[in-house]
Amino acid sequence: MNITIKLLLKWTLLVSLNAVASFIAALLSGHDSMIKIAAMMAGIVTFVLIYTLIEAWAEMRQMKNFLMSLKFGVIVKLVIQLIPAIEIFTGMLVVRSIEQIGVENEFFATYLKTIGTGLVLSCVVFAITAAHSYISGRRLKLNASVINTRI
Amino acid sequence: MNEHLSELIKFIRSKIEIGAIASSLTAVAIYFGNFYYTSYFDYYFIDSTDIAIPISNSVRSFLVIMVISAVLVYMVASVEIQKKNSFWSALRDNAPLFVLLLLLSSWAILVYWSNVDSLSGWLSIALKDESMRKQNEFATQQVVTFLKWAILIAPPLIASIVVLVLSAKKFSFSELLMSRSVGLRGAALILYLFLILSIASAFGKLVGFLEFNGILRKPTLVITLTDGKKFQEGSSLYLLVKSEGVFYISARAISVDSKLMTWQVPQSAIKSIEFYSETAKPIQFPSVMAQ
Repeated sequence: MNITIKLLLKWTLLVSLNAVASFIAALLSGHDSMIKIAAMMAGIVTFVLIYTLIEAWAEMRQMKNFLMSLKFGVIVKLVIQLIPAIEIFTGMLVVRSIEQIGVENEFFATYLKTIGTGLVLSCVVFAITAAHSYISGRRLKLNASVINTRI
Repeated sequence: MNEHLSELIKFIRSKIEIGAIASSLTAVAIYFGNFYYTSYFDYYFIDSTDIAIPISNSVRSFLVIMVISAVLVYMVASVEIQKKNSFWSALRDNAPLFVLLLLLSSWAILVYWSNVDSLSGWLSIALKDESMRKQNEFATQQVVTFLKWAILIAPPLIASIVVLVLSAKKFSFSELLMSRSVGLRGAALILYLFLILSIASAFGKLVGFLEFNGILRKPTLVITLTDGKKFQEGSSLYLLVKSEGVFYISARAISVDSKLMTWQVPQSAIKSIEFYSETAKPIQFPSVMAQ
Protein backbone atom coordinates (compact mmCIF):
# COMPACT_ATOMS: atom_id res chain seq x y z
CA MET A 1 0.00 0.00 0.00
CA ASN A 2 1.39 3.34 -1.08
CA ILE A 3 0.51 6.04 1.48
CA THR A 4 1.90 9.39 0.35
CA ILE A 5 1.91 12.82 2.00
CA LYS A 6 -0.30 14.05 -0.85
CA LEU A 7 -2.90 11.37 -0.05
CA LEU A 8 -2.82 12.25 3.65
CA LEU A 9 -3.21 15.97 2.90
CA LYS A 10 -6.10 15.25 0.53
CA TRP A 11 -8.04 13.31 3.16
CA THR A 12 -7.12 15.81 5.88
CA LEU A 13 -8.81 18.48 3.77
CA LEU A 14 -11.86 16.37 2.78
CA VAL A 15 -12.51 14.93 6.27
CA SER A 16 -12.01 18.32 7.95
CA LEU A 17 -14.41 20.03 5.54
CA ASN A 18 -16.98 17.27 6.15
CA ALA A 19 -16.58 17.66 9.92
CA VAL A 20 -16.96 21.47 10.02
CA ALA A 21 -20.70 21.65 10.73
CA SER A 22 -20.63 18.94 13.44
CA PHE A 23 -17.50 20.45 15.01
CA ILE A 24 -19.05 23.91 15.27
CA ALA A 25 -22.35 22.46 16.54
CA ALA A 26 -20.39 20.60 19.24
CA LEU A 27 -18.53 23.78 20.24
CA LEU A 28 -21.77 25.75 20.48
CA SER A 29 -23.45 23.01 22.57
CA GLY A 30 -20.86 23.19 25.34
CA HIS A 31 -18.09 20.87 24.11
CA ASP A 32 -15.65 23.77 24.16
CA SER A 33 -13.08 22.85 26.81
CA MET A 34 -9.50 22.14 25.66
CA ILE A 35 -9.83 18.42 26.52
CA LYS A 36 -13.03 18.05 24.49
CA ILE A 37 -11.59 19.97 21.52
CA ALA A 38 -8.46 17.77 21.62
CA ALA A 39 -10.67 14.65 21.73
CA MET A 40 -12.73 15.84 18.74
CA MET A 41 -9.54 16.61 16.77
CA ALA A 42 -8.23 13.13 17.64
CA GLY A 43 -11.47 11.68 16.28
CA ILE A 44 -11.11 13.65 13.06
CA VAL A 45 -7.48 12.49 12.68
CA THR A 46 -8.69 8.89 13.14
CA PHE A 47 -11.04 9.27 10.19
CA VAL A 48 -8.32 10.94 8.09
CA LEU A 49 -6.18 7.83 8.65
CA ILE A 50 -9.11 5.45 7.95
CA TYR A 51 -10.02 7.11 4.64
CA THR A 52 -6.35 7.36 3.62
CA LEU A 53 -5.96 3.62 4.23
CA ILE A 54 -9.17 2.89 2.28
CA GLU A 55 -7.94 4.85 -0.73
CA ALA A 56 -4.44 3.33 -0.57
CA TRP A 57 -6.00 -0.17 -0.41
CA ALA A 58 -8.35 0.58 -3.34
CA GLU A 59 -5.48 2.02 -5.41
CA MET A 60 -3.40 -1.09 -4.75
CA ARG A 61 -6.29 -3.24 -6.09
CA GLN A 62 -6.85 -0.76 -8.96
CA MET A 63 -10.49 -0.20 -8.03
CA LYS A 64 -10.88 2.97 -10.11
CA ASN A 65 -14.68 2.89 -10.20
CA PHE A 66 -14.86 2.59 -6.40
CA LEU A 67 -12.42 5.49 -5.92
CA MET A 68 -14.41 7.71 -8.27
CA SER A 69 -17.63 6.82 -6.44
CA LEU A 70 -16.00 7.43 -3.04
CA LYS A 71 -14.87 10.90 -4.14
CA PHE A 72 -18.41 11.58 -5.37
CA GLY A 73 -19.90 10.35 -2.07
CA VAL A 74 -17.59 12.53 0.03
CA ILE A 75 -18.34 15.64 -2.04
CA VAL A 76 -22.11 15.04 -1.92
CA LYS A 77 -21.89 14.57 1.87
CA LEU A 78 -19.97 17.86 2.03
CA VAL A 79 -22.86 19.63 0.29
CA ILE A 80 -25.45 17.81 2.45
CA GLN A 81 -23.91 19.56 5.48
CA LEU A 82 -26.01 22.55 4.42
CA ILE A 83 -29.00 20.57 5.73
CA PRO A 84 -28.36 20.80 9.49
CA ALA A 85 -31.05 18.25 10.40
CA ILE A 86 -28.87 15.27 9.40
CA GLU A 87 -25.82 16.37 11.41
CA ILE A 88 -27.87 17.49 14.40
CA PHE A 89 -29.97 14.33 14.70
CA THR A 90 -26.93 12.11 14.18
CA GLY A 91 -25.01 14.04 16.80
CA MET A 92 -27.88 13.98 19.29
CA LEU A 93 -28.43 10.24 18.81
CA VAL A 94 -24.75 9.36 19.31
CA VAL A 95 -24.21 11.76 22.23
CA ARG A 96 -27.23 10.35 24.09
CA SER A 97 -26.09 6.76 23.45
CA ILE A 98 -22.57 7.44 24.75
CA GLU A 99 -23.95 9.32 27.78
CA GLN A 100 -26.16 6.32 28.60
CA ILE A 101 -23.11 4.04 28.55
CA GLY A 102 -21.63 6.34 31.20
CA VAL A 103 -17.99 6.85 30.21
CA GLU A 104 -16.36 8.90 32.97
CA ASN A 105 -13.17 10.01 31.27
CA GLU A 106 -13.98 13.33 29.54
CA PHE A 107 -11.44 12.87 26.72
CA PHE A 108 -12.48 9.29 25.97
CA ALA A 109 -16.21 10.09 26.12
CA THR A 110 -15.82 12.97 23.64
CA TYR A 111 -13.55 10.84 21.43
CA LEU A 112 -16.22 8.09 21.34
CA LYS A 113 -18.94 10.65 20.51
CA THR A 114 -16.80 11.95 17.61
CA ILE A 115 -16.07 8.44 16.32
CA GLY A 116 -19.73 7.44 16.69
CA THR A 117 -20.97 10.50 14.80
CA GLY A 118 -18.29 9.99 12.15
CA LEU A 119 -19.26 6.34 11.71
CA VAL A 120 -22.95 7.14 11.19
CA LEU A 121 -22.10 9.92 8.71
CA SER A 122 -19.60 7.60 6.97
CA CYS A 123 -22.52 5.20 6.44
CA VAL A 124 -24.21 8.07 4.57
CA VAL A 125 -21.03 8.54 2.50
CA PHE A 126 -20.83 4.83 1.69
CA ALA A 127 -24.53 4.67 0.81
CA ILE A 128 -24.00 7.48 -1.74
CA THR A 129 -20.79 5.76 -2.92
CA ALA A 130 -22.63 2.45 -3.42
CA ALA A 131 -25.45 4.17 -5.33
CA HIS A 132 -23.00 6.02 -7.59
CA SER A 133 -20.94 2.86 -8.16
CA TYR A 134 -24.08 0.87 -9.08
CA ILE A 135 -25.38 3.54 -11.48
CA SER A 136 -22.00 4.08 -13.18
CA GLY A 137 -21.54 0.28 -13.42
CA ARG A 138 -24.94 -0.08 -15.10
CA ARG A 139 -24.11 2.77 -17.48
CA LEU A 140 -20.80 1.09 -18.44
CA LYS A 141 -22.60 -2.21 -19.10
CA LEU A 142 -25.23 -0.41 -21.19
CA ASN A 143 -22.54 1.35 -23.26
CA ALA A 144 -20.68 -1.95 -23.73
CA SER A 145 -23.86 -3.70 -24.94
CA VAL A 146 -24.59 -0.82 -27.38
CA ILE A 147 -21.07 -1.10 -28.81
CA ASN A 148 -21.42 -4.90 -29.15
CA THR A 149 -24.75 -4.46 -30.96
CA ARG A 150 -23.19 -1.99 -33.43
CA ILE A 151 -20.28 -4.39 -34.15
CA MET B 1 -43.44 65.38 -49.34
CA ASN B 2 -43.16 61.59 -49.11
CA GLU B 3 -39.42 61.90 -48.53
CA HIS B 4 -39.98 64.27 -45.61
CA LEU B 5 -42.62 61.97 -44.15
CA SER B 6 -40.43 58.87 -44.36
CA GLU B 7 -37.55 60.78 -42.74
CA LEU B 8 -39.86 61.92 -39.98
CA ILE B 9 -41.10 58.37 -39.41
CA LYS B 10 -37.49 57.08 -39.33
CA PHE B 11 -36.55 59.76 -36.79
CA ILE B 12 -39.54 59.05 -34.53
CA ARG B 13 -38.96 55.28 -34.76
CA SER B 14 -35.31 55.63 -33.79
CA LYS B 15 -36.30 57.73 -30.76
CA ILE B 16 -38.97 55.21 -29.78
CA GLU B 17 -36.46 52.34 -30.11
CA ILE B 18 -33.90 54.18 -28.00
CA GLY B 19 -36.62 54.99 -25.45
CA ALA B 20 -37.77 51.36 -25.36
CA ILE B 21 -34.21 50.07 -24.82
CA ALA B 22 -33.53 52.69 -22.15
CA SER B 23 -36.76 51.98 -20.28
CA SER B 24 -36.19 48.19 -20.50
CA LEU B 25 -32.68 48.61 -19.10
CA THR B 26 -33.99 50.89 -16.36
CA ALA B 27 -36.72 48.37 -15.49
CA VAL B 28 -34.14 45.55 -15.30
CA ALA B 29 -31.85 47.77 -13.20
CA ILE B 30 -34.71 48.66 -10.83
CA TYR B 31 -35.75 45.00 -10.56
CA PHE B 32 -32.27 43.79 -9.65
CA GLY B 33 -31.40 46.88 -7.62
CA ASN B 34 -34.52 46.36 -5.51
CA PHE B 35 -33.20 42.96 -4.41
CA TYR B 36 -30.92 44.78 -1.96
CA TYR B 37 -33.57 47.16 -0.62
CA THR B 38 -36.21 44.47 -0.24
CA SER B 39 -33.91 42.35 1.93
CA TYR B 40 -32.74 45.46 3.86
CA PHE B 41 -36.30 46.32 4.82
CA ASP B 42 -37.09 42.63 5.42
CA TYR B 43 -34.42 42.59 8.12
CA TYR B 44 -36.31 45.34 9.92
CA PHE B 45 -39.68 43.60 9.35
CA ILE B 46 -40.84 46.42 7.06
CA ASP B 47 -42.95 45.63 4.03
CA SER B 48 -40.92 47.21 1.23
CA THR B 49 -44.05 47.70 -0.90
CA ASP B 50 -44.92 50.55 1.51
CA ILE B 51 -41.60 52.28 0.82
CA ALA B 52 -40.95 54.41 -2.25
CA ILE B 53 -37.37 53.47 -3.15
CA PRO B 54 -35.77 56.17 -5.34
CA ILE B 55 -35.07 54.84 -8.82
CA SER B 56 -31.54 56.27 -8.67
CA ASN B 57 -30.74 54.06 -5.62
CA SER B 58 -31.90 50.88 -7.36
CA VAL B 59 -30.09 51.77 -10.58
CA ARG B 60 -26.94 52.53 -8.57
CA SER B 61 -27.06 49.08 -6.91
CA PHE B 62 -27.50 47.44 -10.31
CA LEU B 63 -24.62 49.46 -11.80
CA VAL B 64 -22.31 48.36 -8.98
CA ILE B 65 -23.10 44.73 -9.80
CA MET B 66 -22.62 45.36 -13.55
CA VAL B 67 -19.28 47.14 -13.11
CA ILE B 68 -17.89 44.41 -10.82
CA SER B 69 -19.09 41.72 -13.26
CA ALA B 70 -17.58 43.53 -16.28
CA VAL B 71 -14.21 43.88 -14.51
CA LEU B 72 -14.16 40.19 -13.58
CA VAL B 73 -15.08 39.05 -17.11
CA TYR B 74 -12.36 41.32 -18.51
CA MET B 75 -9.79 39.89 -16.07
CA VAL B 76 -10.63 36.33 -17.12
CA ALA B 77 -10.81 37.09 -20.86
CA SER B 78 -7.54 39.05 -20.95
CA VAL B 79 -5.42 36.22 -19.48
CA GLU B 80 -2.50 34.90 -21.54
CA ILE B 81 -2.79 31.16 -21.95
CA GLN B 82 0.36 29.02 -21.59
CA LYS B 83 2.48 31.82 -20.22
CA LYS B 84 4.95 31.11 -17.39
CA ASN B 85 3.19 31.91 -14.13
CA SER B 86 4.72 33.65 -11.14
CA PHE B 87 3.01 33.96 -7.74
CA TRP B 88 1.93 37.52 -8.54
CA SER B 89 0.58 36.77 -12.02
CA ALA B 90 -1.28 33.74 -10.62
CA LEU B 91 -2.68 35.94 -7.82
CA ARG B 92 -3.96 38.45 -10.36
CA ASP B 93 -5.45 35.63 -12.47
CA ASN B 94 -7.12 34.17 -9.37
CA ALA B 95 -8.93 37.42 -8.43
CA PRO B 96 -12.14 36.20 -10.16
CA LEU B 97 -11.80 32.94 -8.20
CA PHE B 98 -11.55 34.98 -4.98
CA VAL B 99 -14.83 36.73 -5.81
CA LEU B 100 -16.47 33.42 -6.78
CA LEU B 101 -15.37 31.74 -3.53
CA LEU B 102 -16.47 34.77 -1.52
CA LEU B 103 -19.94 34.55 -3.06
CA LEU B 104 -20.11 30.73 -2.85
CA SER B 105 -19.15 30.54 0.83
CA SER B 106 -21.55 33.41 1.68
CA TRP B 107 -24.32 31.62 -0.22
CA ALA B 108 -23.53 28.33 1.59
CA ILE B 109 -23.78 30.04 4.99
CA LEU B 110 -27.05 31.71 3.99
CA VAL B 111 -28.52 28.36 2.86
CA TYR B 112 -27.41 26.76 6.15
CA TRP B 113 -28.91 29.69 8.08
CA SER B 114 -32.27 29.37 6.36
CA ASN B 115 -32.24 25.59 6.99
CA VAL B 116 -31.48 26.21 10.68
CA ASP B 117 -34.48 28.57 10.86
CA SER B 118 -36.71 25.97 9.15
CA LEU B 119 -35.52 23.16 11.43
CA SER B 120 -35.99 25.31 14.53
CA GLY B 121 -39.51 26.23 13.39
CA TRP B 122 -40.34 22.57 12.79
CA LEU B 123 -38.93 21.51 16.16
CA SER B 124 -40.86 24.20 18.04
CA ILE B 125 -44.07 22.70 16.60
CA ALA B 126 -43.05 19.03 16.95
CA LEU B 127 -41.64 19.18 20.49
CA LYS B 128 -44.29 18.84 23.19
CA ASP B 129 -41.96 19.10 26.19
CA GLU B 130 -41.58 22.73 27.36
CA SER B 131 -37.96 22.32 28.48
CA MET B 132 -36.99 20.81 25.10
CA ARG B 133 -38.67 23.72 23.32
CA LYS B 134 -36.73 26.21 25.43
CA GLN B 135 -33.53 24.26 24.70
CA ASN B 136 -34.35 24.43 20.99
CA GLU B 137 -34.91 28.21 21.19
CA PHE B 138 -31.68 28.76 23.09
CA ALA B 139 -29.66 26.55 20.73
CA THR B 140 -31.16 28.30 17.67
CA GLN B 141 -30.30 31.72 19.09
CA GLN B 142 -26.71 30.60 19.71
CA VAL B 143 -26.32 29.16 16.22
CA VAL B 144 -27.88 32.22 14.53
CA THR B 145 -25.63 34.59 16.49
CA PHE B 146 -22.65 32.51 15.42
CA LEU B 147 -23.81 32.49 11.77
CA LYS B 148 -24.26 36.29 11.73
CA TRP B 149 -20.59 36.69 12.59
CA ALA B 150 -19.51 33.72 10.46
CA ILE B 151 -20.98 35.29 7.32
CA LEU B 152 -18.75 38.34 7.87
CA ILE B 153 -15.54 36.50 8.71
CA ALA B 154 -15.62 33.08 7.01
CA PRO B 155 -16.10 34.01 3.31
CA PRO B 156 -13.13 36.41 3.01
CA LEU B 157 -11.01 34.06 5.13
CA ILE B 158 -11.83 30.95 3.08
CA ALA B 159 -11.45 32.79 -0.24
CA SER B 160 -8.11 34.34 0.84
CA ILE B 161 -6.63 31.04 2.05
CA VAL B 162 -7.66 29.11 -1.08
CA VAL B 163 -6.45 31.82 -3.47
CA LEU B 164 -3.12 32.28 -1.66
CA VAL B 165 -2.47 28.52 -1.60
CA LEU B 166 -3.37 28.10 -5.28
CA SER B 167 -1.32 31.17 -6.27
CA ALA B 168 1.66 29.80 -4.34
CA LYS B 169 1.31 26.63 -6.44
CA LYS B 170 1.23 28.95 -9.53
CA PHE B 171 -2.29 27.77 -10.44
CA SER B 172 -4.19 30.26 -12.61
CA PHE B 173 -8.00 30.04 -12.46
CA SER B 174 -8.49 32.44 -15.39
CA GLU B 175 -6.12 30.39 -17.55
CA LEU B 176 -7.97 27.19 -16.64
CA LEU B 177 -11.31 28.77 -17.54
CA MET B 178 -10.14 30.23 -20.85
CA SER B 179 -8.53 26.94 -21.93
CA ARG B 180 -11.87 25.11 -21.48
CA SER B 181 -14.90 25.00 -23.77
CA VAL B 182 -17.33 27.88 -24.26
CA GLY B 183 -19.99 25.79 -22.51
CA LEU B 184 -17.96 25.55 -19.32
CA ARG B 185 -17.20 29.27 -19.38
CA GLY B 186 -20.89 29.96 -19.88
CA ALA B 187 -21.73 27.70 -16.92
CA ALA B 188 -19.19 29.56 -14.75
CA LEU B 189 -20.75 32.90 -15.77
CA ILE B 190 -24.28 31.66 -14.98
CA LEU B 191 -23.09 30.37 -11.59
CA TYR B 192 -21.48 33.76 -10.88
CA LEU B 193 -24.65 35.68 -11.88
CA PHE B 194 -26.84 33.41 -9.75
CA LEU B 195 -24.54 33.84 -6.75
CA ILE B 196 -24.17 37.59 -7.06
CA LEU B 197 -27.93 38.12 -7.34
CA SER B 198 -28.54 35.84 -4.33
CA ILE B 199 -25.92 37.67 -2.32
CA ALA B 200 -27.15 41.11 -3.46
CA SER B 201 -30.50 40.27 -1.94
CA ALA B 202 -28.87 39.01 1.25
CA PHE B 203 -26.52 42.00 1.39
CA GLY B 204 -29.42 44.15 2.50
CA LYS B 205 -29.92 41.95 5.58
CA LEU B 206 -26.20 42.07 6.26
CA VAL B 207 -26.18 45.88 6.22
CA GLY B 208 -29.22 45.86 8.51
CA PHE B 209 -27.42 43.52 10.90
CA LEU B 210 -24.32 45.72 10.91
CA GLU B 211 -26.42 48.84 11.59
CA PHE B 212 -28.35 47.12 14.39
CA ASN B 213 -25.11 46.05 16.08
CA GLY B 214 -23.61 49.52 15.73
CA ILE B 215 -20.82 48.46 13.36
CA LEU B 216 -22.17 50.63 10.55
CA ARG B 217 -23.03 53.85 12.36
CA LYS B 218 -25.88 56.08 11.29
CA PRO B 219 -26.50 59.34 13.16
CA THR B 220 -28.36 58.81 16.42
CA LEU B 221 -31.80 60.40 16.72
CA VAL B 222 -33.55 62.08 19.62
CA ILE B 223 -37.22 62.51 18.74
CA THR B 224 -39.46 64.86 20.69
CA LEU B 225 -43.16 64.15 20.18
CA THR B 226 -45.89 66.78 20.03
CA ASP B 227 -46.89 65.98 23.64
CA GLY B 228 -43.38 66.97 24.79
CA LYS B 229 -42.22 63.44 25.60
CA LYS B 230 -39.07 61.89 24.13
CA PHE B 231 -39.79 58.91 21.88
CA GLN B 232 -38.15 55.73 23.28
CA GLU B 233 -36.00 57.77 25.67
CA GLY B 234 -32.73 56.03 26.54
CA SER B 235 -32.59 54.01 23.33
CA SER B 236 -29.97 54.64 20.67
CA LEU B 237 -32.38 55.36 17.80
CA TYR B 238 -31.49 55.71 14.15
CA LEU B 239 -33.45 56.50 11.02
CA LEU B 240 -34.02 53.76 8.47
CA VAL B 241 -36.00 55.69 5.90
CA LYS B 242 -38.63 58.40 5.61
CA SER B 243 -41.44 57.59 3.22
CA GLU B 244 -44.77 59.31 2.61
CA GLY B 245 -44.86 61.22 5.85
CA VAL B 246 -43.77 58.28 8.03
CA PHE B 247 -40.39 57.90 9.75
CA TYR B 248 -39.20 54.30 10.09
CA ILE B 249 -36.99 54.12 13.18
CA SER B 250 -35.00 51.36 14.85
CA ALA B 251 -32.86 51.11 17.99
CA ARG B 252 -29.33 49.76 18.19
CA ALA B 253 -28.56 46.63 20.19
CA ILE B 254 -27.18 47.29 23.68
CA SER B 255 -26.39 43.62 24.43
CA VAL B 256 -26.23 40.24 22.69
CA ASP B 257 -29.83 39.51 23.77
CA SER B 258 -31.27 42.79 22.48
CA LYS B 259 -34.38 42.31 20.35
CA LEU B 260 -34.68 44.09 17.03
CA MET B 261 -37.51 46.63 17.11
CA THR B 262 -38.80 48.94 14.42
CA TRP B 263 -41.28 51.79 14.79
CA GLN B 264 -43.31 53.77 12.30
CA VAL B 265 -43.64 57.31 13.57
CA PRO B 266 -45.93 59.63 11.58
CA GLN B 267 -44.52 63.06 10.89
CA SER B 268 -47.63 64.64 12.38
CA ALA B 269 -46.77 63.19 15.82
CA ILE B 270 -43.23 64.60 15.85
CA LYS B 271 -42.34 68.01 17.25
CA SER B 272 -38.59 67.86 16.49
CA ILE B 273 -35.79 65.48 15.60
CA GLU B 274 -32.17 65.93 16.66
CA PHE B 275 -29.43 64.08 14.80
CA TYR B 276 -26.23 63.23 16.67
CA SER B 277 -23.13 62.14 14.81
CA GLU B 278 -20.25 60.38 16.65
CA THR B 279 -17.90 63.31 17.13
CA ALA B 280 -19.85 66.46 16.16
CA LYS B 281 -22.19 68.44 18.42
CA PRO B 282 -25.92 67.78 18.12
CA ILE B 283 -27.54 69.49 15.14
CA GLN B 284 -31.21 70.40 15.17
CA PHE B 285 -33.26 70.05 12.00
CA PRO B 286 -36.64 71.63 12.65
CA SER B 287 -36.84 72.13 8.89
CA VAL B 288 -37.22 68.33 8.60
CA MET B 289 -40.84 68.91 9.71
CA ALA B 290 -41.43 71.24 6.78
CA GLN B 291 -40.70 68.47 4.21
